Amino acid sequence: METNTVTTTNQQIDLLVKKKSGFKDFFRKLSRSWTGMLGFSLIILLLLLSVFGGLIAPFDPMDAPLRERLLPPLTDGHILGTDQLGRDILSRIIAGTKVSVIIGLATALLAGLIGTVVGVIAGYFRGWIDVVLMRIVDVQLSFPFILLVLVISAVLGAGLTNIVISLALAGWVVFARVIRSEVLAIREKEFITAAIATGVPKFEILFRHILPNIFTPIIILVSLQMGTYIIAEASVSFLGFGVQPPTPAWGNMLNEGKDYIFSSWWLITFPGIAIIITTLGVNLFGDWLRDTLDPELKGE
Amino acid sequence: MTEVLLEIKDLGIQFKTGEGAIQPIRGVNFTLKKGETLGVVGESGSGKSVTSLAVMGLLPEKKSKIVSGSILFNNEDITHLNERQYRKLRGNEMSMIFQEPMTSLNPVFTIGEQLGEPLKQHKKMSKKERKEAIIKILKQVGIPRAEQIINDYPHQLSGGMRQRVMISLALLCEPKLLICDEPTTALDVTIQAQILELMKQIKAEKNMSLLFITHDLGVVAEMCDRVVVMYAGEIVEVAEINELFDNPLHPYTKGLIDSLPTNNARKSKLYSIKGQVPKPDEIGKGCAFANRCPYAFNKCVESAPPTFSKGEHLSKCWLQESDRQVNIQ
Repeated sequence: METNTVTTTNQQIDLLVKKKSGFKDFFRKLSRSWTGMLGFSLIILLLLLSVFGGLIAPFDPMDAPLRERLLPPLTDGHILGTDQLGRDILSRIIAGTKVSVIIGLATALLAGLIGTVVGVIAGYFRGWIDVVLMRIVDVQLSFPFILLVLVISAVLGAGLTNIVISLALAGWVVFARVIRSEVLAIREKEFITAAIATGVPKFEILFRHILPNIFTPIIILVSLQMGTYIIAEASVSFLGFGVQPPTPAWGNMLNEGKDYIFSSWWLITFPGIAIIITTLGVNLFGDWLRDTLDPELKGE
Repeated sequence: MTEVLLEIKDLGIQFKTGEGAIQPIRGVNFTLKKGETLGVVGESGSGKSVTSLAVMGLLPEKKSKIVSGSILFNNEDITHLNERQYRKLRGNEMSMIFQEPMTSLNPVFTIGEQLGEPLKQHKKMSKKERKEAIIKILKQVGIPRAEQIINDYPHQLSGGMRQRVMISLALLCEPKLLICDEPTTALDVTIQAQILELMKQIKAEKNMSLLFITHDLGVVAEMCDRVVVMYAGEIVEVAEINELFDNPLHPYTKGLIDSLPTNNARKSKLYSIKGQVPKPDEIGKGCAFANRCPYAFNKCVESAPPTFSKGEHLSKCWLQESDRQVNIQ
């Protein structure tokens, strides 16, 4: 009897020690935080809408029957009403999801890539290259973000690809700064010296020992910056430099709706809410990632 | 006479600082024989760690420079090796155990992955052979459930376990020289005793040479065959372990020994050497210890003492000059 119970507990311990599969573990941890869950659900919803939006949308977002212009919400099947050209607002918001998601993701990845490369080079190799790169970052950080985006997109011209490029060119500095400081902190850690002491070559130190350690801040920054870029895209489109009408994007919906703000509130309110929800979702998920991915907290 | 594994001759190391160059290591000489444990003791700032880092070639490249002397490892000067040649030595012929087991392991890799590293660098082994070697060495350093531990992350282990992992990491390629930089300072006393016992046992099994850096004379007495006492970047005394404790020739060594707590002196205040180790730029032309030395006289301030030898017992103190020979007991 006695020995039996001992073996079962040992087995239980073994089960606990055994590595859990990635996906299960992810959801197990996610289910413990309602904010993370909410953020994750919103992101999934956005992704689904951007892929399958065309199938769900009740109307054609480009169809403009002028007779039905400026209908308030919940009339004639237009759940969120229609705009000044009679286009269904709900359908346009759904169609605009694609633009926001593409821009948010693509910009965050591109800016993250540039910023990480610069940050790692500056932080790992130090010396003059660090000084040069960081002064460039300083200079760029002294310009207002939106102004910089406007200038770059004015040079490049409007359009989806160009807006991604200009947002990334204006935004990589944030990554470079953070990643550099992370690399600086990690290269001085004793385990790096210990790795050198076991005969690991320099480049392997960089790729195998330093990069995995800064992976967490990179992922977190990418997710948090995505929200910023979605808003920035909306602002730039609002100012007329971004995605050009008639392509539905939340920013230019706000831009077009602002003339009717006193007579037809729904034109500007619902795209605004879409932006808020998206940014909130991305930020909640980013926050949760930050709390979860810390290896010190892993498995607790 | 047994063969010499490591010989340091007149080593001088310079550091560049904002205010110019300072020289924390000034003319260090010692030898380490095969199979011997050599203790290096001294206060913080006496240059123990810098010396050991120099042997491993781990000094910060841009800020420091070996300005004089040589380090002979297996009769080969290793101060002029390039990165590649040094890499072949590190982890393979010589390895090092660091002071802080809590920060010496990379938090994002499992124990197994980290221990695989030196084998990957230095030995041609299949994945399976590597795993077997790792489990074998973990068992040797007394880690239970080694098969499971290799899938654990460092933060899941206790301090003592991590230091055992660090020791096994250093031992994997069976180095000829093992440098231990205060390996037990960060551990509590019971674990400390276990780790020291383990190191002694492994050293005896593998016939390695140990360079044992510490400020704890109790640990030295436990572990070492010979002792080098360092003060302010130079060696002030070298002696066989019993000789050093029975008959210290340098006032600094005597001060260190007197500072040890004894069993029957519980109520009295502990002895301490007054003052601090001078910074490298504060050392004048005289003996570096003169300003703290209770035996100091005029000559000590005027010129630096050479090394006096009394058989194998070396010391750097004017008191040992042949016509003086003061007994400081």
